[in-house]
Amino acid sequence: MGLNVIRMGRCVNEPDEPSRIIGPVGKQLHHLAQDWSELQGTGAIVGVYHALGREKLDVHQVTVEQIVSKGFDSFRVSAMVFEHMTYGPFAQLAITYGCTGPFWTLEANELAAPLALWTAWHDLQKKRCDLAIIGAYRRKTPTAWMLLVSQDDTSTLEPALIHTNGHTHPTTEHLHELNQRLGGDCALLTPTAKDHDTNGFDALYQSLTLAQAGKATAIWRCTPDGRGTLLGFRRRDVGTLGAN
Amino acid sequence: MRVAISGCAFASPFGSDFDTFWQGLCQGPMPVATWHSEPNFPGLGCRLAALPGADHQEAPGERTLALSIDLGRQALASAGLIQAPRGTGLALGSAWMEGDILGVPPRPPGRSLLPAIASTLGLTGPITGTPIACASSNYALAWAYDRLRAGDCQYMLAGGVDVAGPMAIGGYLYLDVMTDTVPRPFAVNQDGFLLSEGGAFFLLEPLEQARAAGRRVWGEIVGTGTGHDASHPTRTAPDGRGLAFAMRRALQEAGLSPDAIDYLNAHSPGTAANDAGEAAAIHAVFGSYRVPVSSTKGSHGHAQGGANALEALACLLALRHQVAPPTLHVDQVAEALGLDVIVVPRPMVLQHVLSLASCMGGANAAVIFARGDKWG
Repeated sequence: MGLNVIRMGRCVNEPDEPSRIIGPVGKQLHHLAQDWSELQGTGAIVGVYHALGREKLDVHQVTVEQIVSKGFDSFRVSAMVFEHMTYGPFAQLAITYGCTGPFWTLEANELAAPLALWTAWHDLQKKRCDLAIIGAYRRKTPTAWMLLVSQDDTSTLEPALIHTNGHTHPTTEHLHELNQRLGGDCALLTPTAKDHDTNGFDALYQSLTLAQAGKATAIWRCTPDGRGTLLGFRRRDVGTLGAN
Repeated sequence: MRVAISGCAFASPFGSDFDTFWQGLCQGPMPVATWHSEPNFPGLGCRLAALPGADHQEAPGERTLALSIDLGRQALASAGLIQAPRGTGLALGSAWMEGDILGVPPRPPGRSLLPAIASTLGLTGPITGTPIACASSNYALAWAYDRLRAGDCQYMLAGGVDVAGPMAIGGYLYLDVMTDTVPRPFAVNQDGFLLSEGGAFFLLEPLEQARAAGRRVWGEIVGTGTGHDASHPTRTAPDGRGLAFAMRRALQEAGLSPDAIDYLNAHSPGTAANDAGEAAAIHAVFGSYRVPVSSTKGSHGHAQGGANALEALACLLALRHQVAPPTLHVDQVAEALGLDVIVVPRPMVLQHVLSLASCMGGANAAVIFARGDKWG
């Protein structure tokens, strides 16, 4: 049983979506999800894992500006939740698509995407849900990232995660430990799209794509205060299971 | 692996002494003051169960930071630890943290408090915040429990705190969810919650590790679950589906049947919209078994993101005293809910207790506690 990556998507424009979807981020998440047939009334229990970073402060700033300029009475109740609470866009997504499984917002700045995926993987292994949406958004120049994964016997993709706090780079010991957990060597990716990366999602997509193609890779993310996470993926061919 | 709570510290409107807090839970009276924000937000005010000695002229974010660091240190010290062991993680449940404001014009967004807390306490393990409104602290406990069970670390500090600030108060006033008198969860005449401040931090570690180190165990976390209503932005689902899902997952994790839960500490803050859905969830999970229920928000108020942390402490103290704490201020229980609502302290054999949390947006979290050996 491995991690099965079903869908990956990023939305950088504000789509022209139904007015019932509130806010630019909500529209983007809806835009990504509406074509994902796995979410359309299949009866699967879907968990939602929101990776939250510094955009939290942007959300608060927008809210504060509205309060100061227009007062509390300027809010609509649904918008107060869906647009002005950090987890709101994902709550709206859960309501729209009937995601009644686990629901998480994990605030970890640059490490949020790896930790959200790791939390989702843990829940999938525990059978707490059938499918997991892992996502993030950026508020100032609205952009949304989403990933749909499951755990099933059609996949032999395995993740492993190491905390590297207090180090400016992953050490050889960290990499050795990661390789040991994955049962083979993996290449450390150098992020190439840092400017567009929210909470590590672009790097995560790149690593997952390469790993699915058979190239074991890892990404390392760190925060300015020295927290770090090394997340690797390796596809095991069925014939080699047990050999590693 | 069994997960022990081997350290604990808290701050509440009753103070930070365990016996005083327990007495407050069981008998009150709730220390209530009036909060106002003049001159920055004229007319903005409410009744509030504040922390003793609180300085409400100080920015909420700075108060939260100072309180979190203090409680983190105290929780470690209560376990006999001068500093955090290498690799200790942090799961912080705070709904507002740096998100509230004080002053016009508002300050620009400040620093992120999570790394400030982690670096001050020397925490180098898995670190995250779970800012999921009024369910934040139960989420933090659940995440910490999972990290220990997954072998990601050997120690986790987990809990949450929140204080009162203009943004929170203005938002709750706008939603018209606060009472002008006292909170009456599960009562026929309930009319809203009383905002309060505070929270708690707990040190979690593998039970065998705690015992090997000679640390007394305040209690165990034996199961957690989360779930979403997928129903409405502000109201609990009428059938309580998200809460029911969370409870079932927690029971499954703990390997317990519903009738093994001796007492249930409900989320109920004192709003009718919550209670119907929460009661429906309890009936859906517990069936014909009438689990004794109370909401301690009737005594310590609604400390927002810190509320579940205070309720976790209430559960641990209930296990200690073998007494289920009451829902204060209830003259007449809303019989239509069909719940066994505890309105006076109820001595009983308590082995497993369940704490529930819900929040705006539809997220829910359940945590099951088991009795420890700290008090013999």
